[in-house]
Amino acid sequence: MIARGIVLIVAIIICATVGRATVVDLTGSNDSGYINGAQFVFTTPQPTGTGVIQPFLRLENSPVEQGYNTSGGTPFDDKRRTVDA
Amino acid sequence: MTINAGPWTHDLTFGDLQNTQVTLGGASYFKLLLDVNEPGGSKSLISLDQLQFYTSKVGSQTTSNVGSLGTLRYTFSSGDSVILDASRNHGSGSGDMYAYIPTSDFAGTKTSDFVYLYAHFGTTDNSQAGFEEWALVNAAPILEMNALFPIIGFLRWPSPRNICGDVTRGSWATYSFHEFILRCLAEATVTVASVFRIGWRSVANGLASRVILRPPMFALQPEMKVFSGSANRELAQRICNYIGVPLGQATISAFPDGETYVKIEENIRGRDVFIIQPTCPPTNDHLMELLIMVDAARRASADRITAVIPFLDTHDRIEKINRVFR
Repeated sequence: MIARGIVLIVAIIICATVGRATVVDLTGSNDSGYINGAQFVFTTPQPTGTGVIQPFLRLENSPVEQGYNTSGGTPFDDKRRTVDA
Repeated sequence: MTINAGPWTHDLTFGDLQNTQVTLGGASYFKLLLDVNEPGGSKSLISLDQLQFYTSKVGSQTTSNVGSLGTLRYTFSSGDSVILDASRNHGSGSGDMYAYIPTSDFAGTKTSDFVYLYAHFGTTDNSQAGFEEWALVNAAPILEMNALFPIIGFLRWPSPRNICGDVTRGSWATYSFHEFILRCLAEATVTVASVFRIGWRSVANGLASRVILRPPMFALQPEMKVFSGSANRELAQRICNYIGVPLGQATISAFPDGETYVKIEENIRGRDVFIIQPTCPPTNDHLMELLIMVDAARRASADRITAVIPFLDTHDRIEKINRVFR
């Protein structure tokens, strides 16, 4: 009986965890959504005037890609300028 | 193969991030822009499956253990994702999504601390081709000397192709020249306002403010030289008339075999040179002429050369070519 109760509690916890996953669909059905307090908003093309936009992380790979911004190296799929080949 | 630090991926400090701070609904956020590039059709979807922010006193890290980057400030939970459709916006470079990250997540972070954004794409919807790029969106644009020069605005507003109609057809029906220049100035005056500690609102709303700001803008550019190609000298002359800078003297002709000949007729050693040349039809000729002018200016020891291209006809094709060679 106790074992069943534990299993039930674990199952509830797992379900609750799975249920927390949030998918923000910006493909057309919605234009914004929240994940853990951060807001993600679809935007139409924006002006990128001098000093307004500062790119700092570029990623490229397929079918998945990952990386973080750093000046130190290329541990993942971040793109840097190739100057000699 | 040698890999050098490039302009696309680099360190950020918390001070950089603080420049993006905005208020939405009474809450404070850091504002970032994501630009995605995917093929068209059914392959245009891409998923952002993880987004994390770390802060650390150590910059330029190279670890493959993301969790060791520093203090975790923000993260998606397991299964969270954002689904984007690259086909909703045409082209690249102007963004597809804003991400607003709560500033409260960064409590206790020092301005000099480094900020790492880790992103993972493609688990739910694969990344197919092209790059994804994150950028800061500065609430107050950062000062650059070129930003003080209003004709750079021609590159920015509203878009090169829209400007083409005005420039190449010689028609200012859509926007009067005066209005056009002032609209271009608007972007530069944001920066100028911060330099001279003038309220942005008064600068943005007042024509007089812009006029008053004009002399100090160009007083800061005493070494500036403006030259024009043959594509639209009238445009270059009117720009120079407006900003009170003489149009530089350059001879543009052709050798007997038809090749373009350019001679800079002024001393531009150590000067800040701007070359105005739309690449309207005949595109190849105008583009080649521009390149030869840049080469001539470089050989004449100009300190800095800026090509002002009000209409960049081959922009999309250049983007594709660049992708091939990346």
